[in-house]
Amino acid sequence: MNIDQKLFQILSDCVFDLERDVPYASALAMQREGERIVWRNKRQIVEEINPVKGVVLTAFTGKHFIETATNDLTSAALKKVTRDLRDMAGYEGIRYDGPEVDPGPKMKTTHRVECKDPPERIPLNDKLETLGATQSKLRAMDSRIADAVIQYGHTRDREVFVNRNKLLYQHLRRTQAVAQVIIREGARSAALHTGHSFQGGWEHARIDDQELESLVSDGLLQLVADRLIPGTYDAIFSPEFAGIFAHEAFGHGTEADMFLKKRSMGQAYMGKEVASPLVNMSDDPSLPGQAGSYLFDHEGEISSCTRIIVGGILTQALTDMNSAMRLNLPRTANGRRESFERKAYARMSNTFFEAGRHTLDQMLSDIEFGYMLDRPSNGMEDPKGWGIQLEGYLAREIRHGKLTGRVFSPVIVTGTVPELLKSISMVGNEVTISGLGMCGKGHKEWVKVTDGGPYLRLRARLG
Amino acid sequence: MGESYGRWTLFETSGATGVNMGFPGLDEILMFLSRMKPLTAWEATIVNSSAFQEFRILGDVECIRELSSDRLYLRLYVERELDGKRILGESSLVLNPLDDFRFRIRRSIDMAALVKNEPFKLPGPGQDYAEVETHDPAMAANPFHNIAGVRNRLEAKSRQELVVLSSSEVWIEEKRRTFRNSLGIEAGYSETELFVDFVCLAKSDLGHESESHGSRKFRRLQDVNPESMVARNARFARDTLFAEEPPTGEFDVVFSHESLDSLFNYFAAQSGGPAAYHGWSRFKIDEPVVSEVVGDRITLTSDPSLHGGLKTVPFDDNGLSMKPVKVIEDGFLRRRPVEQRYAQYLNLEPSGALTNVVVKPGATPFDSLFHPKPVLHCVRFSTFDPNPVSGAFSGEIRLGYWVTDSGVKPVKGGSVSGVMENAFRRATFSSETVQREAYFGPKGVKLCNLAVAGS
Repeated sequence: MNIDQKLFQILSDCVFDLERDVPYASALAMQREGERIVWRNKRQIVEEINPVKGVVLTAFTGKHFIETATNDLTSAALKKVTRDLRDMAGYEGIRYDGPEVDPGPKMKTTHRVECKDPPERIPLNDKLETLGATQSKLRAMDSRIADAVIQYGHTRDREVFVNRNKLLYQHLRRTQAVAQVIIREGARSAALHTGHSFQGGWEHARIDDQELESLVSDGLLQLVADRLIPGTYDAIFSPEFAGIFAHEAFGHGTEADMFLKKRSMGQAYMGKEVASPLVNMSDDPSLPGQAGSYLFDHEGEISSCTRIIVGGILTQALTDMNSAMRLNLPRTANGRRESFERKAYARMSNTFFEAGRHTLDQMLSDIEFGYMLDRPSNGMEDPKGWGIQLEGYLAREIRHGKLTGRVFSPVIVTGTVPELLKSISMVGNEVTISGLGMCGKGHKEWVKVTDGGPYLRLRARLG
Repeated sequence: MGESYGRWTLFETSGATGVNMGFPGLDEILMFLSRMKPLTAWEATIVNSSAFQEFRILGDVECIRELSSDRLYLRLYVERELDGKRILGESSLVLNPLDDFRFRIRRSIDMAALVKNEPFKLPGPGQDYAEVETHDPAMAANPFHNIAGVRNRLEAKSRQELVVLSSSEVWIEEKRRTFRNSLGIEAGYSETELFVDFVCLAKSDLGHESESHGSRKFRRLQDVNPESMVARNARFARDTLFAEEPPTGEFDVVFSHESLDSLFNYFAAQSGGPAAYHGWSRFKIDEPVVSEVVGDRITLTSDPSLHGGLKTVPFDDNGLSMKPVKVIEDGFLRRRPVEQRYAQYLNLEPSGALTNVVVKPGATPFDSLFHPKPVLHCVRFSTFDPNPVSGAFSGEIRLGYWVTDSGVKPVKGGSVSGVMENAFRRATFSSETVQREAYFGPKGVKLCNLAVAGS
């Protein structure tokens, strides 16, 4: 049984049943399926992506939310979880004079991501041969490659959202391609990966030769890289590095459930300057083709762009239903769940710095001594203290306005969010979104996100 | 969620019937598997799960949740000959109730038939499963009552500590795992897990605020101590209010508390079967894992029966009986903890992959780790994930203490970085021990001359 519009009726019945008792109810059915192929030197994996299928029923008692969830989609099971939720509501107590949940305007809509090459129409053997050939090519690029890994994954998310006004269905398809090399020479070893993820199908499964060559050459550079001397330097962030910076800086810092918990300093800075006037930053789940895009979030809000920072001023937060309702903030389509088994939180989608007007050459031209940071690995932010950590594999040395070819690895950027954002002196003129990211909240609740930006020039403390 | 199997581990009834594996249509599915060509072996794991969750913000309920699920995890094997050589095809799938299992299994077999891996034999019946603690009936008996108990204690202690409990999440999950394979193993066990996640907010007289985020999972209710968790995080939150950046330079660094959780991950990864088989392990049997050591040498054991350990299990995903393994002894790699697959690939004794990490303590009292001064004492990083291949690490200091002759000052911001191979040449392990989720070992570990990037 697949999750599709056929569930509209039975879920509407559940919602109708629930709203006989509670002021607001909704239902979300989620199904994720797909395939994954991993090809490495000595092992292959071909399997289904761990499928998720189930329904979560939500009720607002007038005081708080209560939920029941199951992966049994039979009519009897759905009736049972509806009954369980009504019982829970009775036990918790219902208030009709509490805050009101806005069910939104009446609408019935469906959305499907189109694939140029639907993976299910391509014989599995053809996919394996293509990926195997890429893996052979990659491992042959240098004798020091101990293991070469090619990964392909395609997911199909079918989601149905129902409340008293909305009947929404979306079918999202996403394809991810990753290449990784593990390189050894004597006592030194290094690992590096590259890749992309976009909405669509098999057309996104390939990684071009130039990208593979760049992966290997950067991996080899890591073998001879030293650690840089800690200090504050002129720096240029690559678009990938700018992306992780956007995500950590005022992505997490403007998730409004953190406002509600008094865990974000951003709340006190709404409408105030937090960055250089050159900085504009957005979160946009409606971006066409990006892996973090969707038509509606997991609380039924239709996606649109949220401009978080405009001209250096912090302007808008990312909300889920609870935080928007309690803080009287505009609702944005950022209420997302890891699965039907998890609660919704305010989460990012595609988060990025918007384009400026500088070229990379202009950014490099007057740097006497500094670093270009590339190939980020991870990041972390502390919304309450505004501390930030960005880690990457490569710091490319810049001297007298030119890249010298010397690299340092790994590299870590630490500092405070506004300090870094205010130090931005140039913003590149072309945005690149990187789709490989997953985002956790408190080391759990993983959802698909992307991030990106143009090249950024700034001052940063590196270690 | 149905009957509990008893306190800890359960049964192995090879070839017997009557084990209620709790998945709709299971007999039909297994019958279908037994008839499928060219399937040569299969493994089935049913996971029946129920969970209860409470979320609170500033003392008010945000959400209460109750959920249940039944899933069947299948792993399918197709061994065959190709060009005179035996090869193994394999694939896996997860079934939810009412899934079209015939279509899904056929598709999975088609996938498996294209894979060309090195063959290995599945574990057979006669496994000697240890009686280990995975399930706490007291935790499972009345989940919402237990959740309320933990939450009330968190809130009471927060008031006593004069910090604000910003948010709390308390979950109790109970799972029943039953395993069967085509060679006749049938076994199962139940497990419980309590997850506590909360944030303490502290405020200075000047109105500055800071937070400390506590998060931990427990197997047993008796191990949960909300008062001590709040007290520690309240102190961290208060100390963070006055924390400054550490100085820049090369300093001795003591790791304790959460900073221990991933400190030994590099050694675990390098010792494992995948690293050896795929050619990226730098470790060799009976050779030192770190060269030219002048400090304490590592002795690291994988212990699948550690009381209260989150990685305590009687058997792994292949139904292999888990065994304790002394992985590194006195600085030398002695034995790789390997599952059935890598044991056969590498011609080693199967023991299961690494479970709970037990590190032998040293002879130095914890307090003596802070001599000579200055020493940077790190209790929490934003993230600290040493690269499993290169051993390089960097971590932003979320909270630490700068210990000098003139006193102890809290620090935050800046980073500690290095390479494991170099850092463990001059390591000192405390004589006192501590148990964390899947770690039992020294309460503190001092590594010398690490690069600190601060003010």
